[in-house]
Amino acid sequence: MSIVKMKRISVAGMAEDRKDLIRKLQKLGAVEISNQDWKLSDPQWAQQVQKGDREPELTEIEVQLAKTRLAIETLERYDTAKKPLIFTRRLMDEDSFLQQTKQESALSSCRDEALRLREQLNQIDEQINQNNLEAAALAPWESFGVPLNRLQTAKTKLILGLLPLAVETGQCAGALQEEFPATAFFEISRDKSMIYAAVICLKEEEEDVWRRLRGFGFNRIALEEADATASQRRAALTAQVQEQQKSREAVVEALKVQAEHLPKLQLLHDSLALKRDRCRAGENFLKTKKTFLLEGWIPAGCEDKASQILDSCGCWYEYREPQDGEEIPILLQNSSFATPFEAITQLYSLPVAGNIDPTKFFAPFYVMFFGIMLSDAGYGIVLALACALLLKKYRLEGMFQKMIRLFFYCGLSTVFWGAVFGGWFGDFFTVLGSMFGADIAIPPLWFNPLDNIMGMLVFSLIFGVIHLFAGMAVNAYLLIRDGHPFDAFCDVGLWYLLIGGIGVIFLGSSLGLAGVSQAGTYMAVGGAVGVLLTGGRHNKGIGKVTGGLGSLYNVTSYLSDVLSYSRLLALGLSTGVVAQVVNMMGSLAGDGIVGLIVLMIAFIIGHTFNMAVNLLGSFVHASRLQYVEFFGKFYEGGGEPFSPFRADTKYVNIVSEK
Amino acid sequence: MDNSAMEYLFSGTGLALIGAVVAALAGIGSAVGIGIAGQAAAGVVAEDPKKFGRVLILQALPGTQGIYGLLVAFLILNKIGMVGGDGLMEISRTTGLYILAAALPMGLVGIFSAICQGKAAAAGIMMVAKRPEEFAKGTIFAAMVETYAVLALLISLIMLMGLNVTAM
Repeated sequence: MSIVKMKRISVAGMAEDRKDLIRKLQKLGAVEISNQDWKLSDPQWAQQVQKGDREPELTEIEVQLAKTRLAIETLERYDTAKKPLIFTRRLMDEDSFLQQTKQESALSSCRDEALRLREQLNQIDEQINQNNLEAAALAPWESFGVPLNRLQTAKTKLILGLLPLAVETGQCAGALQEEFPATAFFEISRDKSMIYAAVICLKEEEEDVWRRLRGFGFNRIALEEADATASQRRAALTAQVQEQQKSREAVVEALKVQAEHLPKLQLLHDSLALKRDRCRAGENFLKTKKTFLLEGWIPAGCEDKASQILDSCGCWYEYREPQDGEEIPILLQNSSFATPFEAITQLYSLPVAGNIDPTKFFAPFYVMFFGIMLSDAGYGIVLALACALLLKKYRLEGMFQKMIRLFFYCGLSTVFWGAVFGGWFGDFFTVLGSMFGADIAIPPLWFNPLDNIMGMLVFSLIFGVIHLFAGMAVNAYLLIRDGHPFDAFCDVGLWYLLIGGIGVIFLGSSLGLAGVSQAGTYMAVGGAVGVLLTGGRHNKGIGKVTGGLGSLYNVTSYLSDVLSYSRLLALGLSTGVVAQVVNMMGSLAGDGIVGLIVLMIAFIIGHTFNMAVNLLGSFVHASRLQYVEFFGKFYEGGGEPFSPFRADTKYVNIVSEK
Repeated sequence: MDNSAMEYLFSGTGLALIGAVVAALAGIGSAVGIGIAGQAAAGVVAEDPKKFGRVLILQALPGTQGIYGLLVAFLILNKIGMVGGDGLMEISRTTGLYILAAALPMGLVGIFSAICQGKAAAAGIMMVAKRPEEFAKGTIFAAMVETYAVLALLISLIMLMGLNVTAM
């Protein structure tokens, strides 16, 4: 079985052993600890036990963790060390991890220093910003020679403000003069959007003058007070900003130096994260004064290791089979070939507990369909090599590693199908050969789909029928396993007969053998009658008749399923034709050295584009054929993934000595 | 209209070329579709730049119709000898009409399916914004639309391949 069997584990122990046990379980990483809150709503339980409350401690760790994350983020921004293309966790043995994280104060002082520098940088930036803003506001007032803190005398007042460009300043000054003779109007400067003006008036007339000015659209402003004229103040500000820029650079330098300590901070982060997880796990324990109680899931086969740990902590424990109604977490286990394809299953949704892991069934089809759709041996080689290189150079983990391995297999399959259909970067070598007068043609091992589209279509549909039949076979297996062999016969066997019969009719007519067609007709009619009679077997009364008709109507859904596989042809052709177009455009510059260079440029740009687009298309459509056509026949997703309590670190991969 | 003008406007080769144009017009749909998806993608990336890779893949999905259109157009040009042959052939008006008819499914379905696929992709992008782990489902929703572009391509190809084009 490729869904791993789970066992329910219950543990009871003494409170003083709890911490030790949690540590060891985290290291083991094979037990999913269940939440037991439901027990607390049961009065009988609630009398006896309490929730393992770790809230205050957890909050404290979360705060520390958030600080560390912020420090790491800051330093990463100023880290000058060369970063690898792909991030991988670095290996570290357990002892040195424990040793290095033991000096927590040294690590956290590193972190605090980074945070202090960050704070300093923020402050400086804020000041620079403020000064720049002020300087910008002063710019239009450069020629205004009055110190900014002396905008009034005993009797008079200076009003500064903006006027819209449309205002005629002479007219405005004249109007003011007329109404308030003791008033003077000065235009200081103007820019693209505004006129900047100063008005001197008597204090007692200020309100009235302002009201009059507002009639012209005058907008009063206040400048920051200073014991200097606008231009002096502005120069001072600019000088200040320059100073601040210098100290900013110093802080940035300090941050760059501090970035050396990134590995230490990463250690701190992981150590805190482990602590937090232990704390959270502790929350799911129930406790009395002196004991604790723990429940969880463990994959069958891991009991021995768990028992060892539990014995060493002096705990009582028992394993039992899951009961009906319990939601069993799902863990997939497959052969080394099929494992990468778990990524495709995961992307859809894990199977529910009673269903089946489809991974190993669709893996060969996935690889094959991907190859047919990308269908260019050149692209396949590039893809497989790139993936092989990534796998060799980096220690990839998890989903990413699965995807890269999956693409590696798909690359190999593409090489195969590319050779079968004769695509090597389209017809690149033929084009290249013709430049030098050579007649190079790499003949396809089977046939060129472009020369025989109908043939390719037929084979695509045949591959599709095989794929669908495989999916139906899995359904039949599930039905028989669950004790419904008659359903398997009706829902799968009869349809095999019907669809197979239609296939035989086509076979017979294309071979010109009337007898074969005749046999096919009998098969198809037999299957159809069977479906018609049995389709309504779960219904009552008249439903038995209509159910059969409805069931037979499913023939259309099978038809659309089969036709869906014509995408194998379409995507394959589009790769090939676009590759040819690229080569043709490259060859337009003629023969000779210039022609060769143009061809090479067209080759690199064009084929990179074509490969990227078709890689995406092949991935999406190979997945779709599984999700919609194949899974539709038997699969039921929605399982909860098994998430064991383990050392879930971000930066370091802790390896324990065996 | 006198006969010579008819000959001039609707020569077989001219009709075939119009066919190639119609097929290539599927690119309009792809452009609109990718544009729709791109607007949604930019919105998501504004919130979270890390999602760029995922939304870019979704955005690229409606691009295939343009490529299918190109494919059909290229095959037509190949059939009438404009590319990869011995030069442009003069073909009969009937053959030209046949070629134009063959281009119609890809041209029309390409335009509309790509626009609809763009909408589905945009919705998928919105989904990725909220639930990045459901990315695969978003791509599948968009890929469902593409089926019909594939079917149109199929019909266009079968019609084209069945035509025996010879010079007049």
